[in-house]
Amino acid sequence: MRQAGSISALAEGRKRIFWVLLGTGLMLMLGLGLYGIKMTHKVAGPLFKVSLYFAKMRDGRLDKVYSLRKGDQLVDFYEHFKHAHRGIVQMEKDDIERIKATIAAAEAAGVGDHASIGELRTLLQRKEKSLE
Amino acid sequence: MSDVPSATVVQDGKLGGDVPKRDGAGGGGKPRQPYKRKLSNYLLDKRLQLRYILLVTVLSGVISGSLGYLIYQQRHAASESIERDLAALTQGDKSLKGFQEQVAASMAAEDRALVYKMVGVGIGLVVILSLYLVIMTHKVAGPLYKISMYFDRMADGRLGNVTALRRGDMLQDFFGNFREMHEAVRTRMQSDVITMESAAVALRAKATAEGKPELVDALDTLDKHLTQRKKQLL
Repeated sequence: MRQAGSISALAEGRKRIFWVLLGTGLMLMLGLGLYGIKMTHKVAGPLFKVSLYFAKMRDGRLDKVYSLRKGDQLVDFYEHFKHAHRGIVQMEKDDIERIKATIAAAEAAGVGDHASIGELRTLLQRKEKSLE
Repeated sequence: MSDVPSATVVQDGKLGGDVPKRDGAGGGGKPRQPYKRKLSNYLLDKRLQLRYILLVTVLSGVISGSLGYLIYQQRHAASESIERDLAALTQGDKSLKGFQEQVAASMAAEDRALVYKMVGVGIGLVVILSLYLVIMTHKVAGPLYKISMYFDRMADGRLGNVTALRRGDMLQDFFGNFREMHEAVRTRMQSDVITMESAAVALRAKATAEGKPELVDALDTLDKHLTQRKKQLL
């Protein structure tokens, strides 16, 4: 009787291990899968956003850069990008300032209708538009 | 216009600006030490990398520990059952007491060996997983670190060469987008320098011929600006 009880207890234990293994495996798969999707989204989201700004910058559009969503990862990386964007905007602003000063000096000297001034005006227009 | 830099992309796997400048190519500055892959460099973004590594290793440690405990419990229950049954079979027979103790000791030793094996496998699993995750997250953090360095240069208005990622690095597409943007911005700036320089040359000729000192002064300032810009584009 006692032997039969022991065998039955061991069989119960084996069954318990099987179900715990199966349950843990399934929960692990589900949990890690969901966590993986959530966390990679928090990394891929900012990268996607930065890629969109890359495309804009490539096409010569340097408009405002917005902040990341709350909870997004790569905050430091994004800050570096914002600084880089500001750096390029500053370069364009410096060019604009210099071109404007040259055009003003040329107009004051009476050579405002020179072909080169026309080229500078076109360049100025394009640069100003890129910052809008 | 020959001194306007060309938009060459270096392909040797070194960081942009890390390629030593040739003699006479201007600059003359001390070349940076080339980036070397060191063990300490594997955790480039500690916050990002350790977060994932810690979570996965803790999770795998807890799971393997719990399952190990269950297996040990089952094994221990089986050993106890055998010992109990043996004791019942040899009840009252003192001559078999030694044999009984021998079996009990052997069972206990096997149970202990199982615990050691499971602890070993658990530690091995955690170590292998941690190392694998350090390497994998490094392959993501590495390119981000490199791009961040280029961002810092762009923030200072320096648009030099961009070098390729190392083989095996992740985020190749993202880096490709970055490089494309960098090249486009650089090429546009170079083209702008050419336009401004041509205008300055033509206007200077006219200003000098017609005696316009204010315009000459403005063109001198423009020239200084262009010289500075050309240095930034090297």
